[in-house]
Amino acid sequence: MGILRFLLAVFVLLSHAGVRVQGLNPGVVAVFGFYAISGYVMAALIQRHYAAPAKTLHFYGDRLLRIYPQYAFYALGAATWLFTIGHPTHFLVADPSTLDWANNILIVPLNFFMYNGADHFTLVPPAWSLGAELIFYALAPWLWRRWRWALLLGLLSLAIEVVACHAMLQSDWWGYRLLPGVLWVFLLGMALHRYQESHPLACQRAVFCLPPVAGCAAFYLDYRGYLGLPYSREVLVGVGIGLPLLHWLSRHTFGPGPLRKLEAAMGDASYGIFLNHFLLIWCLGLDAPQDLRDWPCFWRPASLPVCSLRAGSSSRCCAGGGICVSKANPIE
Amino acid sequence: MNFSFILRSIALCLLTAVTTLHAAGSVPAPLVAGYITFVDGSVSIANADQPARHAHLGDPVHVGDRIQTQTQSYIHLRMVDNAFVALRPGSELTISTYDYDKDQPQASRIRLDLQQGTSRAVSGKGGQAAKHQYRFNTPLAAIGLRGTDYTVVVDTEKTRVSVAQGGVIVSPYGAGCSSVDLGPCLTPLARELTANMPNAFIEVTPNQAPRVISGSLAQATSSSPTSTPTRVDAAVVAVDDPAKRAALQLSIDRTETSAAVVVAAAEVNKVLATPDVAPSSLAVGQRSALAQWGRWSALMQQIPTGSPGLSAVFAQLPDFQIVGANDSVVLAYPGNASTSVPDQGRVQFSLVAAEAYVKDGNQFTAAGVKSGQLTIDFGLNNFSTQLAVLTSPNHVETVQAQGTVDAYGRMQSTPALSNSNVGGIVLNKGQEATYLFDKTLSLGSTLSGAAQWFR
Repeated sequence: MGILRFLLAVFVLLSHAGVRVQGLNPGVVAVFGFYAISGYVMAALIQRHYAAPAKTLHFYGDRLLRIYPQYAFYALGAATWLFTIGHPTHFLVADPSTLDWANNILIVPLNFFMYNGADHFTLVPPAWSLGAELIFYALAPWLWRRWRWALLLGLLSLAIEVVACHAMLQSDWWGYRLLPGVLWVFLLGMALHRYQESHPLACQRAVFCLPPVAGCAAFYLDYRGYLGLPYSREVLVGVGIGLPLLHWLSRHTFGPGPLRKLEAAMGDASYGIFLNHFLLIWCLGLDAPQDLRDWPCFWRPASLPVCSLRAGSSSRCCAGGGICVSKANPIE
Repeated sequence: MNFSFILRSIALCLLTAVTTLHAAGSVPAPLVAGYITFVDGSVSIANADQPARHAHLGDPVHVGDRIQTQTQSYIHLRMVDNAFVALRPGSELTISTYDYDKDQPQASRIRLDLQQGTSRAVSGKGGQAAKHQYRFNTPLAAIGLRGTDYTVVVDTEKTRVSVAQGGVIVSPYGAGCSSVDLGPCLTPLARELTANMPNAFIEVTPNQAPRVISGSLAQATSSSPTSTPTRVDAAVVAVDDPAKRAALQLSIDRTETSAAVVVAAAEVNKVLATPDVAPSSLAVGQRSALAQWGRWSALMQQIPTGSPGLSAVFAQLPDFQIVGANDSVVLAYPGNASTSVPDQGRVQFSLVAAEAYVKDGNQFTAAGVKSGQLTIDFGLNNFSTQLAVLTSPNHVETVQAQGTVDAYGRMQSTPALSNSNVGGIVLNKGQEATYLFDKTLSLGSTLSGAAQWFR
């Protein structure tokens, strides 16, 4: 799964570099992939280590230690850059108030930027989705233990997504960013893990039914005229392809050897890329290109290794400090 | 006390004196800020540590130098970061700070003080990389950098600034703006002038807010004192016009706390001379548009007036197809409309309807679309567009985009060539184009809306 996470992080990076594929935003597709992976990995983590209610706080601690150090590292890096050699950007436009700092420290408020204006000062712009993930983490142990309630909430969440896809709610906010509209994707990931062992055949059939179901939904939305809403197509692509890919990759792992090491390294680098690419874009002055000539260095293959190196260095720093005790990857 | 002790004491005293004198003499030499590339007439350069000297071609100028040009005298400087500074007759300029490291241009610190006269400055690598630490002071105003090429005229009563390339931010001294600081002053009174306004300049006079004047700075400077150029006092005009303010739903507080206020004199003139572009596509003369947009319910609740809601638009459009959406509106067209576009031809479109809103946090305010242009080259499958949107009484935002038009009439901006995200649809065999736009503004709010065009 490390390769998948790496590719998804690269999709997010490319999205913020303005890349679109047939009008599709690869970053949005990737975020839905991350949602599903997150649900899957949290289910695995809780089942193996934190199933007992008494272990819930340990789960939260594990998540905090996994998510926060790297996030804090890059947030501090962005703040240092801004207040030394940097310049205001679209996401760092105002002198930060105490509330702005609190938003960045707590992460969760960043998810509600459309209501609280937190995007005026966001040190790690993609962290809005980390906010949604943190809320999910807070609910995950409870959802795992009360699975029927989880299924009910998943249906309600899917209903919100459907309503958003019909333009009755802001589709960008309620169909993509806010947890009530995307919880169902996390829960699909959770369900995948839950039923992979207990109902392997049914699970496999269900998962591989997703692409045609997503295709039918796309056809329906196109027929009804709603497919142009943001980000209906990306939701369907992300779920229709992401879940089967997740299922397949979770069943096929590399044996011991260099490929497994490479996969692990790519997985480790993915969170860093996810967090640091905006800082890289800012540092290289690529955040306000006016002309294609301003961009070429970004398109050079060198940019990705730079991102990866920075990600790797922070991972090593984190591991070297002995505080990364998680058994799961952080991007989920 | 023997003789050798006296000798050693004398030697020690001499050594101490020599060391002290040497230390006193080892004051670092002043930093070279640039070199004289042209001089004509009588130009003197003075420094606190050195008497005034005559300027000669090729001489260096240092940090701390005060350069004075006499009548009929000119001097050009090429600074160490490749910046260009020219002084015209009767000018006095001090190079107060010029720290430039070619390895770290973003750490540059530059401050020039023009006490009187006329100077033209083209910023170099240091100014470009560290705009936040670049300052051009006059006795009345602080000038921060947005771009590259500007001219400053100073006399005892006023400071005038025009821009040839890029832009500047001009602010009078006062709260939040000191002459000893670096970078632009982002005070409520700050005004921005860009090269998009070739026939305008900013004037700062004592105890008054900077004003944007329409006309040529050169003409205004050379004209007699009685021939005052047309004054466009953007802030006063807009604030004193309650109808306009009500229509725009703007608050004085928001205006006064805005930093980097952009004043476009030409656009502000249009506020007075022309109404906003009609907000609804239904208002288009005798021709009815195929594409229509409707507003999200959250926006409808905050601002009831404007284009209809989504449900009303969907009800009007048979078998509608949604083109896209942004924070404020959703764009749709009838499913039976032809989306084929001509194979060739470069067409200029006219703006017939538009609507725009600024969203700050959860709050929407209406903005007025004043003018625009759209060109579609059907042969090359691309478009180029620009919109002037009045987002507050003295703040005009420019939406600018270039992008592609595919075989199905879909318009999509290219991020690297645009300052906004633009997406839309060309209908009716290339007769009609409608697009949505959104742009992140300098204060973190977003500008979004829709614009409709006919051939």
